[in-house]
Amino acid sequence: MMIGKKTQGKKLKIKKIGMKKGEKPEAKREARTRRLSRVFLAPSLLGVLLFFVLPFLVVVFYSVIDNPINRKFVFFDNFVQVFQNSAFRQAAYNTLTFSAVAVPLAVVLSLGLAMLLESKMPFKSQFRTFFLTPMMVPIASVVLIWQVLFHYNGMVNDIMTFLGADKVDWLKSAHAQVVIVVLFLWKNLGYNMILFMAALASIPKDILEVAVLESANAWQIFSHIKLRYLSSTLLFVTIMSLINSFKVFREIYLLTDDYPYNTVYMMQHFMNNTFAKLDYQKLSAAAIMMAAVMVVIIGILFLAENHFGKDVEG
Amino acid sequence: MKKQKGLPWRKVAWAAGVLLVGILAAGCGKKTEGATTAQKEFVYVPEYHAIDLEDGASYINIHKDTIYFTTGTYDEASASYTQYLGILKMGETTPKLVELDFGMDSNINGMYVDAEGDLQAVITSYPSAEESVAIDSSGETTISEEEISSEEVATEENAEAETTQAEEADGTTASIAVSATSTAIAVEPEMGMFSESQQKTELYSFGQDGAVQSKQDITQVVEEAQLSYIQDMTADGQGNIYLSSDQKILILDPSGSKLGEVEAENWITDIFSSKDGTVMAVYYGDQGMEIHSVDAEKKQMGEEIQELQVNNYGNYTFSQGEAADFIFSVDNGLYTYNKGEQAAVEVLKWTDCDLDGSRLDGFSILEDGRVLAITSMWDDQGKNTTELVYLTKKKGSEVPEKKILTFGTMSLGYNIKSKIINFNKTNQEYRIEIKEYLSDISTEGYEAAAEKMNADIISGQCPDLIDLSNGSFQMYAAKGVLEDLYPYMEADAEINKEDYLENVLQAYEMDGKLYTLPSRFNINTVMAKVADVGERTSITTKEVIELMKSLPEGTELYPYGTKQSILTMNLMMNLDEYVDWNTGECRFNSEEFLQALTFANQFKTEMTNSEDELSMPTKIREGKLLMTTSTITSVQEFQMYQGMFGEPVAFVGYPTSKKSGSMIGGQDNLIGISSKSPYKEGGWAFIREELTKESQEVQSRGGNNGFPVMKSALEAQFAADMEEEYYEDAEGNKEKAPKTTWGYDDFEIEIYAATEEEIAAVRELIESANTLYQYDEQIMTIISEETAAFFEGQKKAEEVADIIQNRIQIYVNENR
Repeated sequence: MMIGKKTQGKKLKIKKIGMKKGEKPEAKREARTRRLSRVFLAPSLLGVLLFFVLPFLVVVFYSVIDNPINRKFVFFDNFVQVFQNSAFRQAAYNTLTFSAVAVPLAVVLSLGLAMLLESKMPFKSQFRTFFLTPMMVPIASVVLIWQVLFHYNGMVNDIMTFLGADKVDWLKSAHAQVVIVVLFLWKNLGYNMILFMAALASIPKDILEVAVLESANAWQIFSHIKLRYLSSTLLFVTIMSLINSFKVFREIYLLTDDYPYNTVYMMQHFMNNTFAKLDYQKLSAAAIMMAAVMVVIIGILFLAENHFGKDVEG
Repeated sequence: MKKQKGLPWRKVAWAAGVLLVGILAAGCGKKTEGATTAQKEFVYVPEYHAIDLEDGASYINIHKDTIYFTTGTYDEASASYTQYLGILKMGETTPKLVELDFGMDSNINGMYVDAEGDLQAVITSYPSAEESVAIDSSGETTISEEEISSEEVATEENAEAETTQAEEADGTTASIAVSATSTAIAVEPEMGMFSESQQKTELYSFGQDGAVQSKQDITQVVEEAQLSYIQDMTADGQGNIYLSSDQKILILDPSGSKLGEVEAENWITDIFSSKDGTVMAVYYGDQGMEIHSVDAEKKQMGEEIQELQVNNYGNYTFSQGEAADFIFSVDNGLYTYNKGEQAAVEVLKWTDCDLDGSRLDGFSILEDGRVLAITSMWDDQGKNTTELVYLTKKKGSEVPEKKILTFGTMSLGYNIKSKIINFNKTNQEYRIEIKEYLSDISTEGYEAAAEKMNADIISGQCPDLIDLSNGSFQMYAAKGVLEDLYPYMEADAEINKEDYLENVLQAYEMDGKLYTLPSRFNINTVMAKVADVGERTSITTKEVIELMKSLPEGTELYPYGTKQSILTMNLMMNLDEYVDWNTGECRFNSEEFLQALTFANQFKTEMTNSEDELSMPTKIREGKLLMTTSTITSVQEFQMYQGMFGEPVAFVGYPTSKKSGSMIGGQDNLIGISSKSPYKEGGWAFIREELTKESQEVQSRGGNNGFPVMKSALEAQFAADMEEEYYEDAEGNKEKAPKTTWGYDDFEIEIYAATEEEIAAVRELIESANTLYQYDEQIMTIISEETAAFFEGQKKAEEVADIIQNRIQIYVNENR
């Protein structure tokens, strides 16, 4: 009884505080819901602020000071200095080239594989497992396998020598980026393929059947129906592949160390090395420039997705 | 409408607030106020009591209020060493010394205090026929009276119990009886007597006054167990005796009969008894140092007590006491551990108590909570100082307040530790605390420690004093981490910049600022015979290659020269010929670099040590070795090298086109002051101590601690090197005596006073060097990685040079 009384009293109190002259009950309920939702949102918001927004602001701060010890404000000097640095430009060029080649390949090949596995073919399940296997292999093992294959004294060169060709220094020549693209595709095709298979399975069968009845050919069905229904998945896969293409540094670093052959020197090499030398201002300026480019690319992808997928989204 | 207009402003305010917090977060961590001892919850206050012991203390056992140890004195006149048992009551500083006379070659191998408070020891001796065994006319053999004093008379009951049969290796038997009425021990040989080289092992029991109560001969049981040398001794709760030797522990019952043996996987470094009487063994296992219980019943090692692991590769020392099941010291800390606890508890850090953990002879936690530490130190003149240090725990607010400076280092060096301890003992205003970053000695551990130290420096938690011995001072100085020392020199009444060697200052300067300075230095150089290279102070790579061509086949260029080492030597001072940091141009695909590669490829891939291989001094004398690298740390060392060459020597240094190929190296620790330290004056107070005239003029024994950086101290060092030493021969004539003897491989030379010419040569060498040992690790790593394929014959020189050029170009571009 006492508890009920107390609760009642509290409710009354809230009413008193929340009540304003001339306010409608719906508006009051709405205000209360909004306040309550903010309370529930607060932990997530705090987490995002603490772990994403604040570190980003710290990076912004470091990018406009001379160095972390003196902390003298230098405006955009670091950005100019970094942009003029030929190693940075090399890293940016390599990263963009790699992404421009590897991401479309990762999307197109995985979509092709998904469609292939969706068709009537034997050993579908086995093939699916086969393409997913690289996801389960730890990165250290992947690097080891790639070293065994592409080292100067590796298996690929052994085969080439056996066939009478000259040895190629795969990891320390212009061919290095090809090796890394192959590694990237090997590692990522399976995951992308599964995403596309799920998206293909969710395309309404009746629309496809109607298209077949109306004598649409396979290409017309693919380009006018399937592709449109896949647009959001395409966007997601492309963004994920893009992010993964930036992460390929990990494999390159393990294969070739801090300072690799210049064709596989990536943005993260530049950032890692400047971090090790305490050049936080250069690192921060480079990170902000890279983030800006990422925002532009992802923005373009969103626009494209809106354009191609607008008629199939509810 | 009104609401919609106001909302963006609120969002803007939010964003501005977050931005402000972010910038504050980035800017926070700046060190503005320093710490003091008053802010500490508690500190251990040391109280020192020196004990006058000529030879220090060994086999220290602390039992309740008594400290037992062994010590000795050496009489030069009779060239004899006398060993004593020392007994010291807590609070006293003069120990009671009981002479231990067990014969010329006797040795105490271990001691422990038993449950009754009596001291048990195992003693090995090598009695010779002349000194210990005399056979009288009746054929009865007696041990001379000196062997056992009147105080060492055993009781009749003990004597009966101690009659043993010692079976000789050749089958002869001698019985030893200790008589209650006589001080002599009769030995009745059945077939013969002890041979001169035979080892005799005995257990002795001493009363609390140091008198021998009893002894037992355990020679036979030790021989049967094949214990070559007993290293340690302890006892379990039942009074069984444990003797360790190499990988084996021999267990005896209280009467000296064998109970069994236990083998360890590895060499046993220590055995000790825990509080509950369990005997533990310490030895290296797969994961570093392991501490196992000894299972006497199963005759095997018990389970490892993993909770005692503090540092897998640390030097563990255990002590007995009531404070905990285990009391031990490892590295810089004193720890306790009670069975059932998750981990050992750190009681204190020795350096926080102004003690050097590596100089500890013994320690214990006393019943009143104080910690007793026994330390000993030998100075350069060979004099020992032994101290009892009582450490009392007090609140930080109860002790005189001192400002705390932090000394950040990857790994604390022995010399710097003792300097910090001395500074803390004597300075009334500041106190230095050590922050060691390296805890794991693996490569990954080193990298993680370096990252942690850098993160601290950048985030504003920078140590006040930074150890720069790892060669990182240029990087820190470039980032503004370090304070320029010149203004402090100028403000210091005692330290004047002009008093120090200009070339050394110049070598450590960066843009006219001095961020660190060693107190002593050495010269890294390469030496060759003047007859081979002429009078010169440098040589170019091309000249070396040409010179090598003109020499007879089989002549080595550098000692132990391999392809990699020859290439490294040729690049050491020549990197600026291949890298232009101003323009960013790299020339590793140039003809010169290809030549250097081809030249290095003529040498061996790996050095193989064969028995027929001549020593380096022999090769030099026979003309089979052209040059040798060396680090000249003293005039005496120069004299040694000159003697080794046997003719005039030229310091050509490492190949370079510069005037001198010799480089300055820091003999001492390099320390810098953080530019953000609140106690920069305190940091200078520490650094200046080693730069004062008094410190600089201290000449160490042997004179190989490097050259002092102070001009007057260097001259004083030269004067001391030129000072003749004499001795009187049998006829009373004054003859020149060698100051010392130096050796290198099979070469040995007596060093006499230096001549004017020798001093002039060393002076010229010092003055010619004005650069530091510069080694760009990243460039050298890339070169080393890529040239391996060329040296193994897998790739062409041009291919390798192209890859090196490509990779180093990225490195150079990135760092411009």
